[in-house]
Amino acid sequence: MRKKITLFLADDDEDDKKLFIESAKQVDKQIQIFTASDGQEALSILRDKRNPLPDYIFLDLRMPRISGKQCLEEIRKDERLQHIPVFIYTTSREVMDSIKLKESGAVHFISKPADPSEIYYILSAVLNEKWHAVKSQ
Amino acid sequence: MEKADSADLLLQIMHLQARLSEAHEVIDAIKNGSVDAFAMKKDGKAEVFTLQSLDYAYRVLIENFNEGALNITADGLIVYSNSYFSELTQTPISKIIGTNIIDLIAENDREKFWDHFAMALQGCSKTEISLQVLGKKIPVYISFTSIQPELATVGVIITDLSEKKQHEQTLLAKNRELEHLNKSLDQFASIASHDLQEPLRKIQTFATLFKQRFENELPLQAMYLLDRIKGSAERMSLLIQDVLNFSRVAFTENMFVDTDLNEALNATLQDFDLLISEKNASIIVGHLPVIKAIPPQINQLFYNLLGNALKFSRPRVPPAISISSRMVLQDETEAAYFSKFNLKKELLYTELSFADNGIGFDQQFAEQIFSIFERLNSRQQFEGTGIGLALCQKIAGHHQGRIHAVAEENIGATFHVLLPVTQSANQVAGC
Repeated sequence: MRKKITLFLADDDEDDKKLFIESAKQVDKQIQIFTASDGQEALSILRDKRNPLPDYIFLDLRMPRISGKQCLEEIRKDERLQHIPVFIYTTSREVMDSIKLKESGAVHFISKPADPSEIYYILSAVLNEKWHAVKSQ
Repeated sequence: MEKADSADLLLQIMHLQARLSEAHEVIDAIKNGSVDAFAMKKDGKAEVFTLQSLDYAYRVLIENFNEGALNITADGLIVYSNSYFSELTQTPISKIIGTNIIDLIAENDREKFWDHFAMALQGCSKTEISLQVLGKKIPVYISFTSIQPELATVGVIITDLSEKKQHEQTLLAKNRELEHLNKSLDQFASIASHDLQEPLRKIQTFATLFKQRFENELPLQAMYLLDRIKGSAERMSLLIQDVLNFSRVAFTENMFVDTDLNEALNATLQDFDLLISEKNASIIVGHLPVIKAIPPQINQLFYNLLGNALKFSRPRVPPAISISSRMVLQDETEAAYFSKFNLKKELLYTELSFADNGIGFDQQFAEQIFSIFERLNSRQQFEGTGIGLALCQKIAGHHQGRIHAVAEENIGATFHVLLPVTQSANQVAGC
């Protein structure tokens, strides 16, 4: 039996969170998703050893308190978390943002699509590929 | 006779010996510097040779040097100063001579000075230090050359770095200012690319979801309207991205490409097809040239000018808009035009005119309308941000062009855009 996939999403936008979860469930009904509404909450959930480690982490960039970028940097420093592939999931379409975040150790920079059905394809692609956490430069 | 001859020869020898020894003495005197001049008989006249004249050129040079020149002893005592050093230190030469140079060196730099001076005694040395004279610090570049063993002194050349340092300071301040501006721009970029885009993406997302989920229940007209909402949000999103790119683009020559203005105008007209038919507008388009331009900026320029011509129409008067072009002649007939708009004589200009029959404006506001956020009409009457014409002016400027307007209230307005056909090879459009 295929292992149950666990995703973690940190996003302060409730709409985006809901659409993300809907699409993920369409890709794989068994998928487990847990979420946070800002970077600080994300770090405290991820660092809590009682919680299962996710297979993939998705971070929005602009979140209150701790940004996605800072969150990514913290994850890269944490021995328990640093092997987990982190995807940036943001409204931004800035190439410079993408370059900078990949330098900070994000495996991919995903611009949130305008058409929600695209999230399905994005997540399918993410789950069907093998991703390896990259070391920050 | 023979006797007399030998005595004569002896005398001659003695005379020659005396002259030889005299010559030796002169040479020794020249060598040790105790002779400044000597006279030689030539054609019965005495010709004076001044040994100083050999030094003279150098002395004048040193005196009129635009750098300080000193001669100091191994203990640092100043035995010679040129007038420039006296001016630099605002101290008369008489006071400088006999002063120990260390008294003129800023306290913090004294150790450094001695280190370099010690090196100089072995040959030469140079460094940057500060003088301190009358409580004022003067940054200088100091270079030492030992004149030993010929003379027991060290030659010192002092270059005033005050102006250079001041330039460096100004440059540093400007750089800091630039960094600050870049940071603000980055902040703006981040707001524009994220915060402004987000609601637009949501509009598109929910319009799409709405359409998908109620596809079977909605009349066709509703589906069409949803598509218009999506389309507008998409366009706005593109515009934000465009403005963002526009604001951070570095304007270099290689962005200029051959741009067919007819194509650019057609694309803009298509953007407005709905508004054109809604307002029952008639549009006459003349033939436009191909020029060296930055295409997205030209699109933006046309979009804003055409948008304004359609927007500022008179109630119940269908807009009549004409877009035409002409070459600005480089002869006498246009001389006044060239000087009025400060056009470059070496460039060939095309003038694009957007004329409308709209509400126009009082000619006294013809310049004011190009200021950012400047509006002549209330937001209730005509929506808009007041950025449009400011952006047009910026775009024209980037193309080394100009924009100006001629208008009459309730008759209409004509916007003239002067654009160079080619951007000259060695000129980059300024900001």
